[in-house]
Amino acid sequence: MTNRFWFLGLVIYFLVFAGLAFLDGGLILMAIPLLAYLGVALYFAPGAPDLVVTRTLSTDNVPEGRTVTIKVSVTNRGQDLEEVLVEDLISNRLILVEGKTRRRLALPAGGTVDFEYTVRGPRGKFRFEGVRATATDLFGLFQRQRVFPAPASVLIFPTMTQLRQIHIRPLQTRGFAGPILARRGGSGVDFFGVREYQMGDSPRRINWRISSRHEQEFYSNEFEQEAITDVGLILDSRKQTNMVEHDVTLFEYSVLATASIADAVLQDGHRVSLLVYGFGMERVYPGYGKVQKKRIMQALAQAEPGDNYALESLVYLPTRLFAARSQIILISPLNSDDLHPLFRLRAQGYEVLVVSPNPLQYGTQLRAKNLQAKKPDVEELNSSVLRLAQIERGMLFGYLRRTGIQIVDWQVDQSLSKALHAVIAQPHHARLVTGVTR
Amino acid sequence: MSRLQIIGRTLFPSTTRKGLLAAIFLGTVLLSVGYVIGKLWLEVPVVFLSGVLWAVCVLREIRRVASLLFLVMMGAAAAGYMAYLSHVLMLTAACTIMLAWDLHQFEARLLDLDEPATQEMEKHHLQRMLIVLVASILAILVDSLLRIRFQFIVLVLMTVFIILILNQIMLMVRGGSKPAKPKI
Repeated sequence: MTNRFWFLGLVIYFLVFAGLAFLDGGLILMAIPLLAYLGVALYFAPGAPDLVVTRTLSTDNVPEGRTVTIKVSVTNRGQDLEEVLVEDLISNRLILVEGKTRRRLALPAGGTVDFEYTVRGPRGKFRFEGVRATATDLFGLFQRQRVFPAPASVLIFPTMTQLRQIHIRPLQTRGFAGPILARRGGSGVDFFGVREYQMGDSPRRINWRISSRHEQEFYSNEFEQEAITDVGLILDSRKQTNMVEHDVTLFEYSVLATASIADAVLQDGHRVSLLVYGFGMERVYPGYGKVQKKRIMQALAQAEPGDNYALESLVYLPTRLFAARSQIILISPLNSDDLHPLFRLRAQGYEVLVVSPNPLQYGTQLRAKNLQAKKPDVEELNSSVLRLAQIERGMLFGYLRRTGIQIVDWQVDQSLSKALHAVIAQPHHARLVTGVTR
Repeated sequence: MSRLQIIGRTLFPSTTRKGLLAAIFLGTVLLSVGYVIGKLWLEVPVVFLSGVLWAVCVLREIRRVASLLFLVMMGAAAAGYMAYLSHVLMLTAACTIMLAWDLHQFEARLLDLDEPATQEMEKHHLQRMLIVLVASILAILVDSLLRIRFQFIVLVLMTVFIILILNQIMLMVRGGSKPAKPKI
């Protein structure tokens, strides 16, 4: 029953009681057209809708900014429906670009209605649960509603920026050819050393200058092998680290950085794994190529910042999940408690690169924008507080750099590529771990 | 709803809108004539303005006031009846006001989705209203042609009976129409 039914009922009751109160049969007579209206509506009241719903999506995963087309087909398996409102229930985070998600029409028994619409949305996983059908009589007094399941889901991948080759140099490489100098002799272009001539060596490799000093022996040039390596990406999704103010987080920038770096590193041929550390620990096991890229994008599409008291600190980072002495790239705004876990990583022989979206700069810009827009409850930031926070952050980075960790302090309004390559292009000298074996 | 669409619907009204405006006009005229004949001059502008306001709301597609104006004009019809104005005029006005209220809601449901009312749906709707109007006219004729006297106790019992039937109807309908709650 709808609100109109209750309204009509009240009017009828009022007329009847007024007729009794004033002893006037005419008022009761005036209720008769309304009773006739109600009676006819009741006689033609709809039954429960019985529909078959099928849904097809143009694609089940799509990059952010692209659209998805959804087609819904509804067939009436039950009795004639004089008026039915068929609505596809979609998340309110999706933006309708074209078409409509609902239709109101008459659907006879056996009849079919198709409708199509296009949506676009932010990064994430979106489920389409079902289609709600509301059958109403033509007077709008009685209605029957039911939801028919037609499950489907679409993953919207995060956006990413194109990055140039990321020059990394971990201690351990893998056996397959790649772009990284492997600290051992093999096939390559960089001169590595000289060794005694062995059967099978190409005559072009013979170092004639050294060989001429020895009567009985020849010596061959050795080149440094170029290989791929293991790269472990760690995305910090702890809410307390990513939160800038109220409901504003840097997490989307962290995801963008992770996606971009993953794409660049996979294009170089490296074996890449991902760990999303925060609310839980979501893991993508190491892999190569386009398939691995898709797995990583799927994991990033569903990553959300969260709180977990057990994972408040990076102390509980499961480093044994990463290959020994491989490259680790941590994407995190960082806080002062993260120093020691990063020292530990370096001590264990990992090569660490930290990409840190700057929360101070982002928060300051946001606050300035809100002040300009004259939003309520926004105060000016005390410049001394900001300066202290910046000094604290600078000191944290200084400690980390001294241990050989590369830090990219990324101002999020600037290009990630520029910020990243400004750091990795610099010579990387400071190391705590020594004793490289060949 | 864009202004252009509203202008379009005003210039080229559907059958439902034509019927709605005609019902409002007829209801207003019947009530006004009734009050004029009864020489209740103060109520005439009230009725006339209510009718004009309702028509304006229809043209500007303001929906929320339909029930309020329905109450006002039904109240005017009931008051006119109690003031011994022409019963036929008052009852006929009540029927047309009820028709206007129904058509206003029907048109609003279709306009909500920006879809034109299909001819079939409009036809069925108007056919159903015809049944209601015929029943109502019969009731009016009964009032004007027959004089029935009840004892008060009989009247009370009949009223209680009507109320019980309405309650049963509500229970029966409520039992089969629980709204579905989807999970998203």
